[in-house]
Amino acid sequence: MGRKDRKINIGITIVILAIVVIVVASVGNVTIPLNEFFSIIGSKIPIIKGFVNEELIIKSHSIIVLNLRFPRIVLSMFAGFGLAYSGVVYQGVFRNPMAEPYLLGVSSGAALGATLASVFPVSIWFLGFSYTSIMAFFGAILVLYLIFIITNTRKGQTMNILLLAGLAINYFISSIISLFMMFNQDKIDDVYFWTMGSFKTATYEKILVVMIVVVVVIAYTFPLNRKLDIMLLGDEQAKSLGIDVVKTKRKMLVATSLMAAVIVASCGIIGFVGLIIPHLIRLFVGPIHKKLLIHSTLLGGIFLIIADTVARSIIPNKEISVGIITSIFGVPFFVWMLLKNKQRI
Amino acid sequence: MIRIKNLSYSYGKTLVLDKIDITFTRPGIYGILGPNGAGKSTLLKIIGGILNIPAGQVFIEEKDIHSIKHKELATIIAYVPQQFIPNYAFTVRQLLEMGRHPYHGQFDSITKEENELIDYSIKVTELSKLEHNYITELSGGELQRVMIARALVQDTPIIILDEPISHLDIHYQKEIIKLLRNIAIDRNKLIITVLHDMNVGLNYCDYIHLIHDHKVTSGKPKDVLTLEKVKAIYNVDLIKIKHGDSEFIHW
Repeated sequence: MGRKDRKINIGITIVILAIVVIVVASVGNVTIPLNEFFSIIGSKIPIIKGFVNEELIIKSHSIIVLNLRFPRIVLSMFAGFGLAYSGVVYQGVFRNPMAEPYLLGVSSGAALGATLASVFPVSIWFLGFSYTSIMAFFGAILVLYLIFIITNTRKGQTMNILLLAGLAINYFISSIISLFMMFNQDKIDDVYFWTMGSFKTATYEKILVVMIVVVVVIAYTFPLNRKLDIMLLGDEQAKSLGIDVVKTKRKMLVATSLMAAVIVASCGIIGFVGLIIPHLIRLFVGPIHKKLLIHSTLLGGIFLIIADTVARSIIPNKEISVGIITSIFGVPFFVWMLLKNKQRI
Repeated sequence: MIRIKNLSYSYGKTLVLDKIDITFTRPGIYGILGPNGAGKSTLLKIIGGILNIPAGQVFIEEKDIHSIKHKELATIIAYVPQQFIPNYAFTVRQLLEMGRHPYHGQFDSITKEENELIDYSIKVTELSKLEHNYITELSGGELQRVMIARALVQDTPIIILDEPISHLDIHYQKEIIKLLRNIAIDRNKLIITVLHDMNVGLNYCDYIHLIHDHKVTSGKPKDVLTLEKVKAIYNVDLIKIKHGDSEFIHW
């Protein structure tokens, strides 16, 4: 039994991503032809501007593309990048295929923040983020911090403690949220729909923040990809091959959790991407993290762009939460892949 | 060279090693023997930097192990664990490449010389046919050879092994012991191995550390592994068999 050639080409994945971005831009309640889409985008780029035939552009289309669709596409792409990337890191660090970016309280913390924001409303905006988003971010950070504090007080078996502390705190926070909801039943809808996730509120400021965080975190942690490979062999072996296991794991978890927190603040809690995309890619490229990280990141972007396009256009004039779409379409596909590749996970 | 001074170790309240002194001075094979639970693996893990101990007890090349960074230690000592159960489908070659990690910066990749070292290690451990197989599909014995090959790839002056031949059939037991002898002599390495087989200790080791009752007895194989001593420590009736110049102990 030799090694099967498991090739997926990065170039091809990037081309697919580009095609997806362009195609979905024309999809929606209003269909905008591709050449018009290019003209609209081109008219905003300094050098290309001169070559664009502005007569082609319908004013309302220009607004739809520039203010609505394009920001959504770009934000969902970066959110997909970040969530899938974090998912790979989490699954590697915990050596557990069930791990995902929300494991350490990012989602429950964010939900608590959003709950508090809707129960005690204030009108503040910051860098394109609403008060709810800001509260969600700080909720996520607070819970993350709490979990790391609990873990640091115990020596040895850090990863198991971290996992258990995460689970326990998640349950605790859920109860707190339910408690708030019991006394503020009129706010349940708001919070509930926020947690299911949406890119409706995408703005260029938001994109900039998410983009910077995603790029910086990936640039900071990607060079550690070979350590992640070795850590899959277990802590003992990683140590004997010269890795400071505790430090490396903490570095990776803190960085990717921060990224997940920013993403959750920008678009709500979109599940599934961070859990399943890494698995799917692992079926094709195996456990080497360099490939796993690159391809998962790209596919995460592609997947969320498509999911959001479906969410905003499948029912005319009505939005479905993107979190619903990711699961409804993603899970059957994933199960099918699992069955097809049952010899290896 | 490794010098252990007044080392004690307990798991919780269970004392394993009690103020022991051991030195490993010259290249050669050092066998560590002793009954189950005597602390053989514990000692190896301490030397390998996997179990943490207070300063002032273990010195490697005159440096306190406490003050040696993980990465530097991994260029001095390679550790072959007792049992490794892989959960992820790396290929044999990918696993061997990881042996070069201690020498690499974040952006270095495997060099031509390193590939030659990997090829050499594959050859001497008879792994050529398995090079591109997944480690999850190997037998226990094959995996053991892969781990020994990785220790060779790591190219350290000291190799420590925890029962390297317990999972091997007779053919590979002999080959691996011969291989360890060869690298100890040809490549001037200090090899420390936990063993269960008295006879391997008697006939292939240069020196024996026998751990029993939290203490250690050290010396030449024939001086340490005497019939009376082994009988007493293991609480079993034994006979000695002579064949040419070699001696064997059997129950």
